Amino acid sequence: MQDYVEKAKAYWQKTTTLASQGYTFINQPRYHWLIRTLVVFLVTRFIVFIAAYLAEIAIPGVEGDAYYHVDRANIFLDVWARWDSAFYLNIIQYGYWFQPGYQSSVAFFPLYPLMMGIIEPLAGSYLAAGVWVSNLCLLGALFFLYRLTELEFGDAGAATRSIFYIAAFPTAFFFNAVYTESTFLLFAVGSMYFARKQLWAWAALMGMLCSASRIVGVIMWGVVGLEWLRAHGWTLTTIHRKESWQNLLKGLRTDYISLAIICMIPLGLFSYMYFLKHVFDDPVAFSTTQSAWGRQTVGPFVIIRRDTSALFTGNIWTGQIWYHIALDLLAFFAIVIATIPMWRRLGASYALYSLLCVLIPISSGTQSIIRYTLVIFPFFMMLGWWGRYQAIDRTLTIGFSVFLGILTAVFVNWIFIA
Amino acid sequence: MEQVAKFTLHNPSFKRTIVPLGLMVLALVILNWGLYHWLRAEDPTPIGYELPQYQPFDSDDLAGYVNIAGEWEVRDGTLVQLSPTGYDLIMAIPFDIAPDQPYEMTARLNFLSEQRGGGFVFNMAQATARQKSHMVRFNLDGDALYLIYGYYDDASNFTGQGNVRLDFVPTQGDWTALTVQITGETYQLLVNDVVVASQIPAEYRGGSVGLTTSNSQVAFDDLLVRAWEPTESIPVVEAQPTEAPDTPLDTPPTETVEGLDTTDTTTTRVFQDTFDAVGDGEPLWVPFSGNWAFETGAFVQSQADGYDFGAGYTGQSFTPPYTLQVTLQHREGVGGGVLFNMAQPNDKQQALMVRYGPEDGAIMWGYFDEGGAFIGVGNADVPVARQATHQMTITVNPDTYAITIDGQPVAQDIPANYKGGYIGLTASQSVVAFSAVEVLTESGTPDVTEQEFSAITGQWETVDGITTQTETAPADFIAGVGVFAEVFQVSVQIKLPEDPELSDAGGGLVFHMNGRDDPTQGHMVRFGNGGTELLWGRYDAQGVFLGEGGVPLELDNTQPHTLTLTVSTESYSIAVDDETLIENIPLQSTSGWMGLVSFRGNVQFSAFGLELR
Repeated sequence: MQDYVEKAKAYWQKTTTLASQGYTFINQPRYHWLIRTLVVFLVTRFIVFIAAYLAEIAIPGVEGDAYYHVDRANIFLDVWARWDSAFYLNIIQYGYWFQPGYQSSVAFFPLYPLMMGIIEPLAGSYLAAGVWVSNLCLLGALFFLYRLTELEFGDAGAATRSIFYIAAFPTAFFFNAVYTESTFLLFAVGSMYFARKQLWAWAALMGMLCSASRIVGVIMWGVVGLEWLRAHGWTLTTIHRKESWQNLLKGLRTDYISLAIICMIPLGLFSYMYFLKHVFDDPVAFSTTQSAWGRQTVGPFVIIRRDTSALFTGNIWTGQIWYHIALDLLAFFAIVIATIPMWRRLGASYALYSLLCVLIPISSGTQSIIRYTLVIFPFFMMLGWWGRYQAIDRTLTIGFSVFLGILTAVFVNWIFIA
Repeated sequence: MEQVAKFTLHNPSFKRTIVPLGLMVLALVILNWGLYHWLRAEDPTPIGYELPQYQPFDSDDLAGYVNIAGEWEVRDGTLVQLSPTGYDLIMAIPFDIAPDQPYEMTARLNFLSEQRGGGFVFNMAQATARQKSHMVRFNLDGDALYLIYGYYDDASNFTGQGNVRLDFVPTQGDWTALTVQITGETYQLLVNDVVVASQIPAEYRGGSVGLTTSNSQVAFDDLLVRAWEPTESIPVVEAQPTEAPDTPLDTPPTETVEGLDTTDTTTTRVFQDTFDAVGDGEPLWVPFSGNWAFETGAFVQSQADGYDFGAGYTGQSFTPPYTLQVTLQHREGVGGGVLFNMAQPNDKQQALMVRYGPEDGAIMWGYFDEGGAFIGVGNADVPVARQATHQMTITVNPDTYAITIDGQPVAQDIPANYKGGYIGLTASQSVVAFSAVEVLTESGTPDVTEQEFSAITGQWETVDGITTQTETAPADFIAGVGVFAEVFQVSVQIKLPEDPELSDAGGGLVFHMNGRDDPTQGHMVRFGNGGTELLWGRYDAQGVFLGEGGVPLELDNTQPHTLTLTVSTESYSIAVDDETLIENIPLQSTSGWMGLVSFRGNVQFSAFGLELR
């Protein structure tokens, strides 16, 4: 009997030591980017998956055969195909189609459906492939965002908060869905990270993929270009100084190869445009078809004035309010206001990226701005930095989490959010 | 000031440059290969049909058809939607019809299940979704068949534009023809070649069309989509046949039209306008559509292209029975007529209409519903109208009306959906000069003793002649009587509840209401607080009651009590159980609609009596 006790004690001591050793090992600062990102990813995705499942089975949603269900046999997966998801599933199964005046699939860029197609043999279905692609890209995006935030602020806490805020943002359920938010975010933040590390070819690779996933991806060309200028001593704030221009000339002479590589970023967009020209004789068919969604490019001021006034036509006390317009406008103004400190703290490239990411879509409508906000990673970097104040951190944590749950339930039940 | 950063040059290296460049080339190869070999559809441009298009469904070939929802199959030469459940199951047919292209869509429908939910989708913004499109379909509600119509908005939510109750329910095997005729701005609906609704505003225009079912198995056949000229004659219709004269119209009738017994009563002209003196009374005529101008001796509508142009007379409303006589002459086209029993003088909504058309030698009648859509009730042949001066006489009784053209009866006992109101003139597809309008009434008008009450607020039900309001919340609940009046005496027996928990209940009358179902600006008199008081006052424009006076009462709630109001042009008096309590209470408005009011619930109304004076 005595032997057993001793052996048990020894085993306990040994395993305890191993556990503590393991904890000490993984808690080293050099692994924070990996461990914290994984924890944030797994915790938030687990909660969102469960919340979506519960919302689907517990809340009676909008019914009707027009509200499709791709896989009723697997609710965990089915809830992630709503609204525009059908276009991506349709593209990879049947190819692109375009008819002027109609909501055509050419509005949706090819990278995401291609990635779905590549993964589908492993995933078992296009829907599962889409969910896998979205989640894996989110994980990669969180890695890059953590490293980028840490690079800019030199603060692991700010980096951790940034990735938590973006993963728990009220519309972060789109990162799970058959939508391009995760893919675009991965390549945008990756491109910026490599640009800040002055790894121009890597930045161009990520930027090129970015431009093949959404029309606004092409702005990475300008963003990385601005970073190249900054790296060579030319910034907007030193534009009046002679040395600034001398440095630029020197850079052009000695590092023109990098600049040429950066200029390859739009190749993703150009490839898609050439395809559209070749097949449909309309290289900007993705823009032509926007009118079928009721989008008309009339400029941001007209749109904001129109939609702001629309907000006040109903009785807010009886619920007669365009709530998604309210959310979209709230997100828009938050981003625009945040670009000022963003410019000062992170630089012109970050501010330019953020501003263009909302100004381009809002030129034709406020619709879905709350979703587009997800990919404006500098906004979340700033929130991570400001979150060092406990009051801000708790407010954002609680507010984002609660609204993430609500909007997830709304989305899976076929009520339009963004 | 920001310090100028020193630049650092990176020499191309394998890891920093060559590897990512190689990956970029690989990514571009995969992207382009995928685009041309994977994402390029075999037929990337869906078939777009062109007008005209006839589809007998003789083959399985439905190339280009887009199954948005439902189980659609070609069977036995018809296109069948097999799913008996599910709303808005749509088979879209891609067209690219121009927004200003008038067109017609027609098909035959055979209902294979109990429900009758089959119809069309048209003016679809896209052939892949119902978002931004119009819809019309049959709908069985109880034993009654309706045609409902409206549109799906930007968010695919359905907004109804109206419905028409049809006088038949097809059985299995019966084929029913549904037609929608679309102009640029409006559309009209025909069932079995009968116009049942017209002048419905088109929220969306052009695009594609489709077939739809809701909770029904329906077979469609002989689908025809073709360009259509709005000036094409609409098939002669007899939607709900009314009693037309048996004698040929070219034989002068020998009997007078029912409604006014001119032998026993004295006819009085209460209104006349011959448009002789320009500026004399013309401001009281208010055009609300079309081009109207006063000429000496005529009031002329000169816009020949368009339907249901109108002008109303705002100076006075009329309570049936009365006779409206209009003298008119067509200068171009045919389509002149009258509006009467109008809820508002500046709007065709909720008004009865009789006019020439849809083609020369015919006259049609019906009414405009709450949405302004015209519901045809009937038509008949009349002598050709063009260029001659004609007299149109409408004899309006409390529940029916009769039509006489040039002294010859055309139809009689036509149900009057709306009772009392303003008069107006109308013209469609024609230039019409109206040279005289007059309204005649007679003395000794009949009493109105039996009315159907329609709930505006609250829960109202009538059993064995007793109408009860059962909603017990502490608020005024109102039911419309459906009578528009100016000078009258109205009475009703009211029994308040004996239940102690409803000890503050009350009941009474409302009159001079703003609309048939709009109590604002109406005067109200009722028993209050369980019969311990009588109070009166007025609802303001927002519907808030403003008290004007009250007296104590001691009513025995085990018995009904009679409330009588005698209303003149300037004041009214109140009597309870035939004893006049209050006299000469000033009026704020001179005419309007009538109703019952119940404060809280279980208040009973009976023996409603109305004497128009």
